Amino acid sequence: MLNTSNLSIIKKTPHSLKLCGLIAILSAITANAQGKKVTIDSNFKLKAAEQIDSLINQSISKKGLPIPEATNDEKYLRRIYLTVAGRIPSLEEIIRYKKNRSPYKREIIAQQLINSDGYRSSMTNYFFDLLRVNEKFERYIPGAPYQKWIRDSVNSNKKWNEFAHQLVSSQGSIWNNGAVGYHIRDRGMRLDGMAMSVRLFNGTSMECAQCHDHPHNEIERMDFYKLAAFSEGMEPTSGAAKILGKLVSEERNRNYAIQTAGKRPNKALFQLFKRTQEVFGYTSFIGKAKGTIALPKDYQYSDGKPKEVISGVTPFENIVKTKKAENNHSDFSTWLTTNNKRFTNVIANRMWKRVMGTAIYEPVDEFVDPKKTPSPKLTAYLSELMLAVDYDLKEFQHILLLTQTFGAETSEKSVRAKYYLQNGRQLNRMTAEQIWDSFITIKEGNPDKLPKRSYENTFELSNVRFGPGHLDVVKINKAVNTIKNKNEMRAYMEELLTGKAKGKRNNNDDMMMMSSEEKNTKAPSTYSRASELNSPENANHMLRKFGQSDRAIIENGDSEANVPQVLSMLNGYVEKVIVADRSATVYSNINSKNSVEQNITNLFLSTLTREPSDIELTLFKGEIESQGEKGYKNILSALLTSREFIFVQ
Amino acid sequence: MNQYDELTRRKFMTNAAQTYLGVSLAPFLSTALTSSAFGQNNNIPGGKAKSVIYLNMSGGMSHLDTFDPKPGNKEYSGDLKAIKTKADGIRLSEYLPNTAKIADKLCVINSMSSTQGAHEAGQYLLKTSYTKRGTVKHPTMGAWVNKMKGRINEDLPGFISIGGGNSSTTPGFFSAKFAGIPLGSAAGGLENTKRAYGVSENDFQRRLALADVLNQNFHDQFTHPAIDQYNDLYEEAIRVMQSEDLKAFDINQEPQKIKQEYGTHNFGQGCLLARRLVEHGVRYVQVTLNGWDTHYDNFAGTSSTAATMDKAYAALINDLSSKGLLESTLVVLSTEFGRTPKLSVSRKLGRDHYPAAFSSVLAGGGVKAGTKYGETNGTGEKITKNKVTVLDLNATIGHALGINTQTMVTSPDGRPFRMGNTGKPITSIF
Repeated sequence: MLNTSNLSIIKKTPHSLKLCGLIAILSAITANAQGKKVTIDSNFKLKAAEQIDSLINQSISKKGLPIPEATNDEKYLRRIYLTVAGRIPSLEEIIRYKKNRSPYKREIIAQQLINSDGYRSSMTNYFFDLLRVNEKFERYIPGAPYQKWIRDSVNSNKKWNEFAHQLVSSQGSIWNNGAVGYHIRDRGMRLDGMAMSVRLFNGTSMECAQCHDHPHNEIERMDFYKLAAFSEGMEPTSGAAKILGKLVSEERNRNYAIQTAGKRPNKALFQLFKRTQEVFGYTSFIGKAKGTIALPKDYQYSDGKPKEVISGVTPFENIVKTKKAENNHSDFSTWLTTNNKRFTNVIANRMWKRVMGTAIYEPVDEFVDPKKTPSPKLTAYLSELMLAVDYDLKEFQHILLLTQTFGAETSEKSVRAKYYLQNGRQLNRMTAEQIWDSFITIKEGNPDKLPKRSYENTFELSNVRFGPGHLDVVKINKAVNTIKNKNEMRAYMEELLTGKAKGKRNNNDDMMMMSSEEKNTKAPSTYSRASELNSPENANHMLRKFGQSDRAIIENGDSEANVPQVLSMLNGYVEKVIVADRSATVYSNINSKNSVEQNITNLFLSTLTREPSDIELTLFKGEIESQGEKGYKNILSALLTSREFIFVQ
Repeated sequence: MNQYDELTRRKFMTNAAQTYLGVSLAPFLSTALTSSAFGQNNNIPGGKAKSVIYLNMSGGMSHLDTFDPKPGNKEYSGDLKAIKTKADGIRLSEYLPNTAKIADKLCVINSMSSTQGAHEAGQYLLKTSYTKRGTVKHPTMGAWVNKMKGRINEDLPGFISIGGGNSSTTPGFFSAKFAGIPLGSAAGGLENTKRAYGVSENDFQRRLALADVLNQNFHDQFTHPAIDQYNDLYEEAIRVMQSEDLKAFDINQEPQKIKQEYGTHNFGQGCLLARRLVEHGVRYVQVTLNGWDTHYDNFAGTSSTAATMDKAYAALINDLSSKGLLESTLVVLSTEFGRTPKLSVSRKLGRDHYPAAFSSVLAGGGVKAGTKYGETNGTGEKITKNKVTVLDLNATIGHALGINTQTMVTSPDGRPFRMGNTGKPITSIF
């Protein structure tokens, strides 16, 4: 619970003086934190921000280090745009900011950005990486409903505890509930999926314990199976998948017999069996979580026998046991996400990293007891704050953005994560998505005005169309999964194929909007935000070259340097699509009416969000004097290939 | 091999900066130039191989129809015959006439076995020695080899993969410098190594020099390993661009006759590119051939894929041998699993996945030539002698390179991993 007594003893600081003026600026919400109503207003936010600064400063002073200075406006602007909106600011945005004479201009831009499309876009990227969101799960098993569910949850700023609980406890068909994709994602790896949930939401790694006692933490192999017992019996498949599998096999053999007889078989029915097996058979997570599990046949410890059937119990935090004929699957989710200190602490640390660049402890999916972190009071306070805002991630991040800590000068030396922020902010390479969205800003201007992902009206399985005016995917899914025998299924599929499936059509377009329309998705083809493109993009795309996650594992995006990246900066995409394109937005501010100095300054601002130094201006002017107009291309190329461009300070 | 001329390149950078801008070369560039410490050297005695060419028969190569023929039993092999080869103890399927002529250079392992029966899982195990997990990304063999052995030619990347997609090049939890570079087609080579259209040499140099001014300023403000890594890779990229060894990527420099010997298929041309890359000091090259997944009409599919493989494989071994590169190059031909020996009559003599027994082949790199290792029973269904797991095969590759495969490498999250996992190298074949 938030310690309000801490808030009241904060000494007057410049922040406190701003309170009155800011009250009108910052929005207020009322959160229901653990049953107690707390109003998250400007007063609350600024006091919480001050409390964080105070705790950080105490920790820094204790070590005899100087409190970092505030960074300058240019670095601050670039940092907050990249952190919140996921891209660099455009020239117009920089000029607007510079012209703003308000003493609250930093708070105002924080407020604007946290409520912008850019924030939603960058949070979408974050969750797509965290939750390993693909366009398709396997072959034709569609990932669109899952993707859409996450996108909607981000857009509506769903509280994190609800977000997580809805994912983990989901069951049924993905066509009725997109969150089910969370389980479809790990089809065939159910035990691994359970371990991933615990690591993702509670920052505790259990995967080693699938085969042996964990070498580094307290988790034993028995703990793993006791926890696995909660979801034992749930499977990401349905009865229809089995029936359709048999029909696929039957039809395949029949086709070969026809082929062997020298005739050409009609493969439409075969294709329909195959595709419907994937689209309707492998898109459900169903079963009875009976609460018991058999130990594996190679169980090697004295606390159990191989193949012994055991019941479930949670290994840490609240002790919950499985019950007969109860909803153990949902109980597991509740344990994981409710009144669970690790759950709160892990998400607070993740959001801290997103905003501050460096986490309080890393890796972020390995929970550390607050007492063992470099600043126990701060760590504990952040958990309290997360509870106080009732897992509202937007409000939580907004508070962090209001701290002086966020606006601190960059540390000139690289220091290890455990000394976070003690010498100022750490330098980070931009994420792949930040790089891409910044390129797009330079090329096309404000990327939030560019095409967004659209949802196709219809899709097709073996010439059978679904969507408005065609078949209703939700109804067909229900019908397919109600059929219990093979012959009935064959007959039904034949009806679908010949268009005779009665009563399954719905010509009410509004109904369709609710069903299929939103569930088949199409990414814009060229220049759009990373969050609107394919997830993940193909292997040769700039996003992937710069380390966009391939969605194979949790948080798999990386910021490693590699040669193809550099070559595409020098000679490939960056050169061909941005530098060589004189119609790119960045060049619209370069013209003969401006002085050379002004043109060069505009290029610096549009890329590095800063003006050139005197020596840079002199040297770069020399380039224009000697090369004329084409010198601007050389300057832009140099700016984009500079180390400074791809790092967040 | 052409060694990169450090002086020339430095002069190039310095000149650019001095000529056009009147400033001297940024001092941090000089430190990056001498860096050669890619990976650790864990050499153990006995490893003759320096490079690896890994031919990945993706989809599950039927052992009965290639390297472990069982003729005479119609239910298992139809009418397929076995042929004699240049090595006394080795017989191959009639689909491999060219390979038969170079069998005296091969070590055929007929007792391979895998625990994975699905393509993706089987390929993952084959490439990483580990089963797939959601919580860790395992490095692929090319990344392992570069991590443990370092590069041979600093001017060229250490790991190239031709035709296998992005997943086959992952450095896993190793850093990006161990990642392979994926090439879609052998003919396309490495992208973006030439200056873009409209950018003159003069412009290019001016850009580098201007960027150096900015980098100097940035470097003066910050010390960070990631900045150094980028500095290193800009060095490397420019080195690659300027490298005479870039021609290693250009198979058009090969005589038409040689190109034809390998076959015009992307796999054949990929094998030719692999030879060129190894010749120029690339440590690990992987070439992928799809088309082995013959659930239906096995003989039609396999005969055609085997013909592509046979031509390219024999040409590669001959070519490496005639250039004196075979001793220092381990050529591995493997697949994720075999195919069911008993034919499925209902599916026009199809074969399904079969991880319990299959074949892999090694050549060069100090492996005993013209030999066989391991055996299956008369139907090819069971291993009767010297079972070799996928992990053992990967450990054997390490052994050929002189790598101590017992060396533990810790992932960033503190978990221990080994090249080849728990596999034991087959030392008797060396």
